[in-house]
Amino acid sequence: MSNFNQVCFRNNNNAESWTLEAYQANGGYSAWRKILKEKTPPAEIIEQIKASGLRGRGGAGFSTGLKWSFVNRDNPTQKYLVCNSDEGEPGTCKDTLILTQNPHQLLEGMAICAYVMGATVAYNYMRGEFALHYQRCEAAIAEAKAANLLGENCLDSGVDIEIFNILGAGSYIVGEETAMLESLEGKRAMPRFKPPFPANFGLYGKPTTINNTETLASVPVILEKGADWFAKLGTDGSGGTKIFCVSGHVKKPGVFEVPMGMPFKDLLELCGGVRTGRKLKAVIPGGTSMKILPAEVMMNTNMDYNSIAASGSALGSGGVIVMDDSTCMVKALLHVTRFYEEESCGQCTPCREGSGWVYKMVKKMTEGKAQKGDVDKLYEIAKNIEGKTICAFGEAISWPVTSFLDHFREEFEYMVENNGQSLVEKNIPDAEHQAFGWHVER
Amino acid sequence: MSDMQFLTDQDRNTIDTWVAKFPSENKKSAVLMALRTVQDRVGYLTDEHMEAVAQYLSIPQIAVYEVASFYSMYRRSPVGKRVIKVCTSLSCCLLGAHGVIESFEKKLGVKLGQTTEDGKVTLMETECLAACCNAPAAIIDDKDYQFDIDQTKVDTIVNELMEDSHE
Repeated sequence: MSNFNQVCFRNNNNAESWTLEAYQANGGYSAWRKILKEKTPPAEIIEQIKASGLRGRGGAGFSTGLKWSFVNRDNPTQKYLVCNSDEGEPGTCKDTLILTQNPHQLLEGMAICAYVMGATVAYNYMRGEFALHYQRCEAAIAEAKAANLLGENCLDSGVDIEIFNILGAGSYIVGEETAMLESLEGKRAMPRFKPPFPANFGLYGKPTTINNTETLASVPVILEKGADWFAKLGTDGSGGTKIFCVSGHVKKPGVFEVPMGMPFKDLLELCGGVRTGRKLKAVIPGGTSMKILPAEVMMNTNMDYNSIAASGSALGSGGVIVMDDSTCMVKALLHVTRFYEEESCGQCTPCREGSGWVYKMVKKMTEGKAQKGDVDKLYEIAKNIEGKTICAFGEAISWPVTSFLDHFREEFEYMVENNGQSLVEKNIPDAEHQAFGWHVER
Repeated sequence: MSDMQFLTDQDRNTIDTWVAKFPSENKKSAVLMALRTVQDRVGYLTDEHMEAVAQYLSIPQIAVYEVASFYSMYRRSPVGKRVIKVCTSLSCCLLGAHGVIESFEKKLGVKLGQTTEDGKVTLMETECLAACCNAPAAIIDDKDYQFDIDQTKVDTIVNELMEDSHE
């Protein structure tokens, strides 16, 4: 158990963990103080972050050190850092705990990143519902400023860093980095064409770095304990720890910060296993935008970028959704596709039209109104959205549909042929014991 | 038209704190929170309120309307004094979100999307709230999270809201 909660959650079991006092008692701000005192060359910090193997924790998994190197810090123009705290990928509830339990560690990570890229202004963009989170982060900024860890001339170093907390207003697509920039500019959150990339043309047209909350909150610990320490916690290609949010049909759903590369079956064990009397059927390992994998594949997969990719899906955001053998896959896909239909920003035709079309087709199947050949049609339409949109939302619709069909096609075929009858649920007549029932004993 | 009657002094002060977070030439950035500020007080956004926000931030009315019609937390018609939103994304559905909705419907005597006759409570659904490990989840007034909802919680939530519909 010693490797648990070593990074972003290292402080979470302490009383009032969100205060400056609690954070500093645990080594907090020592990395930042050292940087300010020694004027550590930014290039050195970038090298350490690269060596740590830290990759973007928001879903894309891009090398953080490499991303940081894209902004030219010698460019005299205003530069910006944006922290993406707009958590909303279905299945994911990790950043919420960093923002409420350990906000100072995020602020320290943001300050370090801003220092490295030469930015004096940083925004922490939280989803509009995060009221408590906002309060905690505002209080943390006030404490850090009072201690002169943030603000003008931090600890007499000549370094200025202002961090502002921002709230959204309800939009999944804001989580896409360029959509977030549009939203910060007071517009609809519609993703931008890339290139130009944010490192050159970001917020207000200025060089900008956007990182996920978990990514930035990992930085202070990496610098405190060393790149090598962090890299060795994980595996080759997946340095450090990862926060996994295990939800769905497990006995004890929960959020766990564990070393990268932990076997899925061990993670499942941490949650007490699958619900009583049920067997594992399938898992979406990284939020609903990622491909679903059948039980037998997952039980032989380790939880790191390369292993999950080799198994045919992706680590994504770390939102692990577990489904047991009572789950009708057509109905599960109905809930997934409905989300994307609701949240498509409408900018690109394949996504705007495709998301609605795909949802309606799955709905037709569950209502017994689908026709022979509709399963093929569903696959083809979904497949055709992939790669044809400005942002990755197109893949986020395409991948669930095609993967559900790749692995559980017979359930779709059966439902179409049997007027909406579910192959799975026909043997579980009692609604309470079906997968989507409420009050089922875990 | 003057914005005087649609923005209170309190609104202006709150909006100013958001404007101050952005570069002075980018007042438009504060439009999301300006709309939220007005909606929190009034309950929903009328054309007049949106116009007042546009005028206060010196931006075109269409720019305000575009934002108000895009983000899901904005409402352009009245709702109950309190709003319950039940999450219906996959993790919550797997643990009975639709049963939760049915139970709220029964207890409130309304259907999803409707408001109780006395105007106290509106029942809605919402997309993922980032509370998946506490499913099924819901949120009240877009800020007060409700976790691990069971029948007792439904009863408590409804009883409290019906008694104490503030203002």
